[in-house]
Amino acid sequence: MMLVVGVLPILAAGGFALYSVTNSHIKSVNDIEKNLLNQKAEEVDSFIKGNLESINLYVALGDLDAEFSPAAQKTYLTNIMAVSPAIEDIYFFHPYTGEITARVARDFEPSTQALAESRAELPDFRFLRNSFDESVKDTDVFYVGPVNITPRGPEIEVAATVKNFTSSIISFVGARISLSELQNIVEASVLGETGYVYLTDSAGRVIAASSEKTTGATGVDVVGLVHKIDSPQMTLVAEWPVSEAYAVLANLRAQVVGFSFLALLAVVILSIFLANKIVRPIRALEEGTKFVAKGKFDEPVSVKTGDELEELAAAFNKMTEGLKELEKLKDEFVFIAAHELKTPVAAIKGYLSLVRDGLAGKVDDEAKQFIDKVIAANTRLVKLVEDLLEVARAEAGRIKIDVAPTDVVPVVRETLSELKPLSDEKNITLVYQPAGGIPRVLADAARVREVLVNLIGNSIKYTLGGGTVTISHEVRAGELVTNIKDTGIGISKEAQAKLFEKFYRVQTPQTAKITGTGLGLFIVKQIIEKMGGKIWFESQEGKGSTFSFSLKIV
Amino acid sequence: MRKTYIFIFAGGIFLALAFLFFIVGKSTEGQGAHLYRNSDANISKINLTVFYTVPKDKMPYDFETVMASLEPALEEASAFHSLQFVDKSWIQYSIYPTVLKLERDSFFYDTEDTSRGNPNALASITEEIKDNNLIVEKKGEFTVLGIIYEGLGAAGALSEDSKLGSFILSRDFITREEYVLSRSALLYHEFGHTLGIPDLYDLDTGEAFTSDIMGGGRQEPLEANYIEISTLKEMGVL
Ligand SMILES: [Zn+2]
Repeated sequence: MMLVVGVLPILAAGGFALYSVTNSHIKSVNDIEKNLLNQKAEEVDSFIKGNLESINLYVALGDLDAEFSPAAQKTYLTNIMAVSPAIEDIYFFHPYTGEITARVARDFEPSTQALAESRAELPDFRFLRNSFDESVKDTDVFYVGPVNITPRGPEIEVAATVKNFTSSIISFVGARISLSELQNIVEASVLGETGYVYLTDSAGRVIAASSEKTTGATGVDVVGLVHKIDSPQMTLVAEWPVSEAYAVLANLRAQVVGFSFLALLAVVILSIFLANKIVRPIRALEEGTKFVAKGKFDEPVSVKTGDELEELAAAFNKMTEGLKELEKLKDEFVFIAAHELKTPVAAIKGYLSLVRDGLAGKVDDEAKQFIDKVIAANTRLVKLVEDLLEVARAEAGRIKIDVAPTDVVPVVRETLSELKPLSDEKNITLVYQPAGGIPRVLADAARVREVLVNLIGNSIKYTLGGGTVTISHEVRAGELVTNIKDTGIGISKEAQAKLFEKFYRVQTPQTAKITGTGLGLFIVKQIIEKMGGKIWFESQEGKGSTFSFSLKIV
Repeated sequence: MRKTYIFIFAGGIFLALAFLFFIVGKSTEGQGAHLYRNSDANISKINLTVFYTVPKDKMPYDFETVMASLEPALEEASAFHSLQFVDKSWIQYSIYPTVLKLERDSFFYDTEDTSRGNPNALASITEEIKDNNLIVEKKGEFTVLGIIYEGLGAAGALSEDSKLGSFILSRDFITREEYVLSRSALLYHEFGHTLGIPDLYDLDTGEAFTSDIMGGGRQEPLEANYIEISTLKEMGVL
């Protein structure tokens, strides 16, 4: 959930970034080309205009038919050509006859025959003559012809009116203007490393180009843009191979994807970290409650998050301390109560025996029966008091155990002979066939006996309608393990978990008649652990149980 | 099974289209120029043979001198042609290695009137050269016969079946000092007629309709010349 919440916006942002970067880049590639072509078009235009300006003549003559002699005309033309390097050929032609009256060419002396040719009759020039007929005043009339491809380079033929100072047209001037300069203009175009610009005439012929390559016909995909020029009709074309034009885009795209991926990774890691930060203290608290449930109050929960969770843990620990205090008070109460009960109960036991044996007067059979019942009840009470005292001691860490090298075999034999009447009564066979050389263990013989009485006693108690209780030993990793195996009723799974707890007794219809304090296994566990051993069991309901305890071999 | 057939069928169509695309695409792409207003006659490659011809009754001019002017003029004309035709047509020229003595006197070729360029001489000499098997027509090439004539004349024409072009140009235009600047242009102007291009000036008044090689430009240096866009469009160049 946390992941989804974190990841979705990043994916969305990444996608949007990609989209906008792509869009804006395509737009900027277009803008670059547009700006370049605009600039080039302006340069081309100003080149053409500059040359037209140079033939826009005002001759220092008063009126139409004043002597504008061929010699004077030629001087004029020579001067114009001297300052206009693009002019290849320039000539005056007569407003009426169209006859060329003077002509200067840059590379050659025009032939007399060519001079006689009436160029002004060319159809393109006729409109100029018409403008003359309409007596255009104060207006500059220019003619700009189409681009001609000549061996010396592309050219245009232009013409204009020649006026005197009263703005009367006194002649026409025509000129051929080389467009070779346009190559310099176009050549000076920079469009990345691989982009190029070229200029074509109205028929699509290339006039100038910044590169050998001039069209997309090379089979390379290009981002192209076209700019039309009016006078003369030409077309500027910019072509930028996609591989380079959009290379920046590919880079940017890779960066956006990479960044999004990193952000994604960061979110995933961060969310895992945050989840841990929140979950771990809760887990710690949960573990704490488990300890409390088991009655262990000296395991404080450690949470250092500096927030409400830490406060909660602190409160939890305070509660555990309180519980521990209560537990201690209870233990003390039990110990004192048991201790105080022990003397009167022992006294009762003693005096009851005396009464039963008739030392306090004759006792008839009926009374004897009642007294026996009282004695039996008191015996149980004595046992309970002893167990309670033992538990209290164990919890206070005051069980007295004197560990010494001990031979377990005789202890087992003694216990078995002690319990034999009980087993015989229930038709249970006690089996014990120890092999020779059972190693001695570090233990308190009296306590081991207590343990055996308890465990074997339980086996007998919980084996109903005959059976077998088998005692065996095995040596395992420096320890002697003693197994007490019965064919009894077994222990249910739920019961197994709580078996070693104080006052716990298995509650089933089968066990209802079996007496006990529920303290035996608890005490046994304390004793074994005090001697440095362990106790455990395996059990299957209806098939029997095997209790085992280990003791360290000397 | 049926699916397989569909696949094969579709694949076949695809291949056919691809084939068409390449073939058709190629053929239109590589299409050369053609004769003026005659798109059936391809002139991608023009085979021009030039003869210096002298009527029986005339003395030939120094052959070496003629060659010294003719060769550069042809070279210039050939380069001009390639430039104007944007490499959609090119001229392969050769010069007949000796003076070609004609079978008849100049009177026969000149007749009386040479004002329109002497087409009479052009026709007669072309016929004579053809009859003597002096030209080799190669398949796929357009053949042009150039006649430098010891006598008057400047004309160019296309045979009636549009198979052969020939032009005539007086030896004067080649060797005389006053035509140094314009001889290549004159030569190309007449050559232009062999491709079917008409004159673009008034034959009676000399008034030019255009400044290009077929108009006023024929008397200008070839260096400054060009062919009109409208003419090139009629020849499949633009
Ligand atoms: Zn002509």
